[in-house]
Amino acid sequence: MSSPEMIEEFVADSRRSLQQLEADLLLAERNGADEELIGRAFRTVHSMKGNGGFLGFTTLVELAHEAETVMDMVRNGQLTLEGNLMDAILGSVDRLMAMLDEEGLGEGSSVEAEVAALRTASGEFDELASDDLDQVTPESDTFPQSDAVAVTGPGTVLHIKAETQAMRKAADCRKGLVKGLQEAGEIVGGDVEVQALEDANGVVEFRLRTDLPADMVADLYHIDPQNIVEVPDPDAVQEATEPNSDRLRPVDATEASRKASAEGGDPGALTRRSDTIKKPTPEAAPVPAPAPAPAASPGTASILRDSTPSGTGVATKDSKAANSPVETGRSSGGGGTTVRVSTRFLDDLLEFTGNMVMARNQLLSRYQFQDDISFATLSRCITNVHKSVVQQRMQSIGTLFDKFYRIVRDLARKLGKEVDLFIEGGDIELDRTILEAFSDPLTHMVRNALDHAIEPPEERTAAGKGRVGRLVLRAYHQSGEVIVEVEDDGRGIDASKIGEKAKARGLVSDKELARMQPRKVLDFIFAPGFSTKEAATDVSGRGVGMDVVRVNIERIGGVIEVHTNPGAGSLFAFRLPLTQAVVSSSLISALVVEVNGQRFAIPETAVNEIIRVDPQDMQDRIREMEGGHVYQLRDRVLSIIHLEDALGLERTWTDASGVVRPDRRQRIGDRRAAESPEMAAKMANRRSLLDRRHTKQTLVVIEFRRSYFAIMVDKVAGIEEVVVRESPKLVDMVHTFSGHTVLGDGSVVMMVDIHGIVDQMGLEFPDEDGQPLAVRGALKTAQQMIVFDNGPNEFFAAPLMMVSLIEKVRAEEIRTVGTREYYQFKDATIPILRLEDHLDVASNRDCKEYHLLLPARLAKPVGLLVGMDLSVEDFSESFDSKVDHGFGLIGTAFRDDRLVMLLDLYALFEKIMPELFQAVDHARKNEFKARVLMVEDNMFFSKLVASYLQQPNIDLTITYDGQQAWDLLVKDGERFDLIVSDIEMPNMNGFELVRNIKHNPDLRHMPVIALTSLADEDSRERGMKAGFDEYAVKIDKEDLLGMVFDYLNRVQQQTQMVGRQ
Amino acid sequence: MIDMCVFTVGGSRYAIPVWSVEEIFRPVDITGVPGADDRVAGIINLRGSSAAVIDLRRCLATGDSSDQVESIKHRMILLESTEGLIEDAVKMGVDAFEEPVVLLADWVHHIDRCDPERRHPPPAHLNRKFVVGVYERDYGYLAELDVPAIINDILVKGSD
Repeated sequence: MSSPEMIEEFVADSRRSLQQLEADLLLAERNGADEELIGRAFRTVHSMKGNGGFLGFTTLVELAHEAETVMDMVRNGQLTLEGNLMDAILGSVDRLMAMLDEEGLGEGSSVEAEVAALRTASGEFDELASDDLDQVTPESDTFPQSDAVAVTGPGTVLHIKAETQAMRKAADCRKGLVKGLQEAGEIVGGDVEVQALEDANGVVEFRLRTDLPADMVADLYHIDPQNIVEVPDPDAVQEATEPNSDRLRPVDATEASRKASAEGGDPGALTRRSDTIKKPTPEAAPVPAPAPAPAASPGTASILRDSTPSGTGVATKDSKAANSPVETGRSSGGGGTTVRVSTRFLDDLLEFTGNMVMARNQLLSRYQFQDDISFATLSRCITNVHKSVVQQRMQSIGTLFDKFYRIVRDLARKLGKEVDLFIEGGDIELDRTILEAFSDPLTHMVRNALDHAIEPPEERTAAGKGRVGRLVLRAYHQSGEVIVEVEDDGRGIDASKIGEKAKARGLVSDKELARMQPRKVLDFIFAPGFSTKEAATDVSGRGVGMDVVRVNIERIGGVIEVHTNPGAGSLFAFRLPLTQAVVSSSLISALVVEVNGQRFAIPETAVNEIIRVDPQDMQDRIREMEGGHVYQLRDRVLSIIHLEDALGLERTWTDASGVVRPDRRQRIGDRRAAESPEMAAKMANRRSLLDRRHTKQTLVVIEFRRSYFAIMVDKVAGIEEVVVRESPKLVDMVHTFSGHTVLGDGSVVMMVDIHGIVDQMGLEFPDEDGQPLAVRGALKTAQQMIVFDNGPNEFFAAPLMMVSLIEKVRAEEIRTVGTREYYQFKDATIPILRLEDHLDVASNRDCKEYHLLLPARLAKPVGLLVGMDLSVEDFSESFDSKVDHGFGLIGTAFRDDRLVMLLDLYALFEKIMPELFQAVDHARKNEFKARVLMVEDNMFFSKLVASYLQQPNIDLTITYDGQQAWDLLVKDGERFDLIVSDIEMPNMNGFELVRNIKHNPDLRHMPVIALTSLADEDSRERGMKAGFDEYAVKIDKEDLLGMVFDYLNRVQQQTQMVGRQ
Repeated sequence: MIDMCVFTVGGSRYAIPVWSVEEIFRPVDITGVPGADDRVAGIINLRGSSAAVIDLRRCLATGDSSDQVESIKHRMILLESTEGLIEDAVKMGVDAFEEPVVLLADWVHHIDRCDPERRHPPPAHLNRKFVVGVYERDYGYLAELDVPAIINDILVKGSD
């Protein structure tokens, strides 16, 4: 009988390849099948059949065989993967998958239903099928071992430099060097021909594809381990697509196979592995690589024998030799090198390495190690080890999302609906346990969306929507949170219906309902047992679920939000603090603050900025409002909370001698507590100075769900990279902390949980929700505009991010030299421009005070002098740019009955001071007309960038999201010399777009520049990893134009070269 | 017979089985956790892991709290976690918590060998919730503490 280990391995391998198969099939159904994919699908069932047969599982083989037959017909173009056939194949995949879990792998159970389904689905081709069957059956019966071999993918390729004499002495090589080496794997090239290697003397170099570990190869063939180097497998890709590329395969392969087949099943024959595996099976993936692990020494052959169906006896005399290879070999079997370890082991490892990092940080802060190279090395190693271990615990949410292609497909078919599933942000990584916790809630939401929300095609058409419903699974990071969304464009949720139902169920009274906000009414869907669907289906509608969904999400520290727009769709958002979503013990950046003499850490991801309020300004800037305090920060009014209040500590202040004293002030603006007038008079002299110096004055501005509030602390002690530890259970119930950490100085500090603080203080933030989805979408791309006046009643706007500084200027501070005006700002003399000098607008020349705007990112500073009425406003894209408003103006918008002209500051400055824009000249050198594709969802930016790129030698095409761009490239076959793409976009984001492009052999030559507002280093790195050729930050016109023309010049040169040839 | 670790809290002597003690050491800095149970003094860093510290004084409102023992004499008692408990201890019914927990005591005296057969039920004035019994020793009475009950009480109160 076969060994339990082999069966286990078979099950694991089969499960993996079936999962891949399922994914492949679904992909094929969506995007059309390509040969490679079908080939892979075919090989999966084929090798499952072979291996199953080898291990004696006839029932499994029966079904796999049937599936193989159908797949073969698909491969030959006799069948198309769609509809019923797809159902049948997926059905058999499910059954196969289920059988793997059954006792005896489903041996003896019935697979009639699946077989029948496959036969029916492929029915019209019955005759052909039976022909095929004849060809396949005998093969699978005759060569069990050879098929077994197909399970392993190619192993690793080792580059070996070795001394032939030494190798010949190896036990395996007694019958010849090449033959001996082929025991371990396949010689795939190098400096010598295979035959030449046989005859060579002295030092030779060659490559061996094997799945034995290098040290074992060294040992077996008497090679110095230092002369064995693992190299990338050059054939890995071709091999997968060209089954017949058997370069360097031994000439006697056919003969060997014949021999093998003759010997197959003969218990007496020591079937040498090199013989058996070389049998070229017509369809199987070429198997240059050796069979499952046991292989290296002659002794291991007995294991093979032992495992054949008719095998007798257990290897005895060779067992010692065989044992260790099996162990090590298995871990590197199946192509990749994977080792299965328990999660417990990983958790421990993570904790240990986390401690190493902390200990290292403590050492660093205590001693001067900067110049010590070995310490630097040690330190770097610790960081790397920690990083890799953390990585082991992280998994991209895409692995979970991908599961839904199948679920959505099956459900949609079952419910008679048409639904497209879109996945965004699949590369967001979460802790594995968190990911698992998301699985059920997401499944529930998706089922709900299909069952309740998305209408049948006819109903959709009648409602003026597209036939095909749209379901989006989306993940992204935002202000220290991971957000996972399920969005549909179905019916939406009617709050009044929910209200009625809640009333009927006695959850709420008429009166209460009347007073409730629609949002609160929506919350009833989370009440236990609540469902509005009239009849329960087996998909959903029993009202068990939404409450469970909420409980599950809350259990992992998340919250769930509903946004809905009746008739247009719904969006469910799961929000999870980043500190929860990433592995505990992973490294995060923390702001260390102090209150009440104790230090606390705040996750830096939540911190937007830190403001030190000048004590002199305290009373002006911090105001009282309805019992609380607020701070006016630019255009926002922020609530201030005291960290002490949130944590339940006494408010204190530190006096000059460093003693912490209770803070008895009533208003924080006050410099001292209210007290009796005599006392105050007595203390006044002594206190005023002290108080001013030691009044707390640091505000930490926290970004929370796109809103902001400020936490007042005594002081900020610094920022540290820390490893967060879970709190001991005895203190875990305190929700204002998410854990604790050990700082560099060895002290323990608690990690503040922003969610907990918000809850504790009962902070409420404006709901952006409740707004129709369409508006919400626009909000995402809304621009902060700075709006200002110039002449009376003439208003202008420019994107806030284009302005780096706003300075109040008095008329007398403006110096005039000739016709030019200047302003002295710190060390710089800044030339001043006035709008009226360059645009046809009214003048504001005789004002006493002005605002001076300094644009960001110009080579030299230039100031724009504008009026005093200045504000920052959120603009959605509702500005009209159809009319040509003339130079420097992009469009107009109505805001509060004012007509606001949108300025293109760069165009303006460029005309006035062309010397600031050298890149433009550069551009004109470029002679050929280049096709450039711009992908940008934000209308404002697409117009802005378009205005930059509208050069005589550029033919510009614009699309508004990645999907459109992709369609243009793939469906319409358009080609461009350069693509400039935004990253954050709906439907298909920039990362996905560039990945698709770079994976497509026809498209990958096109340079793609990322143009984004994500300026941080991480995003840049991610961008480069995703395949962007360049990464430009939005509105950096010179930078962008420089890159664009740089690439176009290269393209031009290449074209010229090709032309010359 | 069972070995008991004897210590003082607020002027009274208490004991716990030695099997449940992993280590006794001088106090280290405790980081307070605002909002946690009053009886939890905070958490400490213990060679790469963290442990909550239970201040026994605040658990056992007995004895004379004015009898301030110099803090220099204070000791921390690190308890064995479930994993560290030896088999014999489990047989004797010694219980432990799944995580490391530290007790803060005024002073730890010595190990005393007691006969469980001769343990008296706690007298009425003692905190019956946390005292499982009393031994009569030549130096006076010794109350055996039920530490798992204290831990449990803190956990239950916290989950309210």
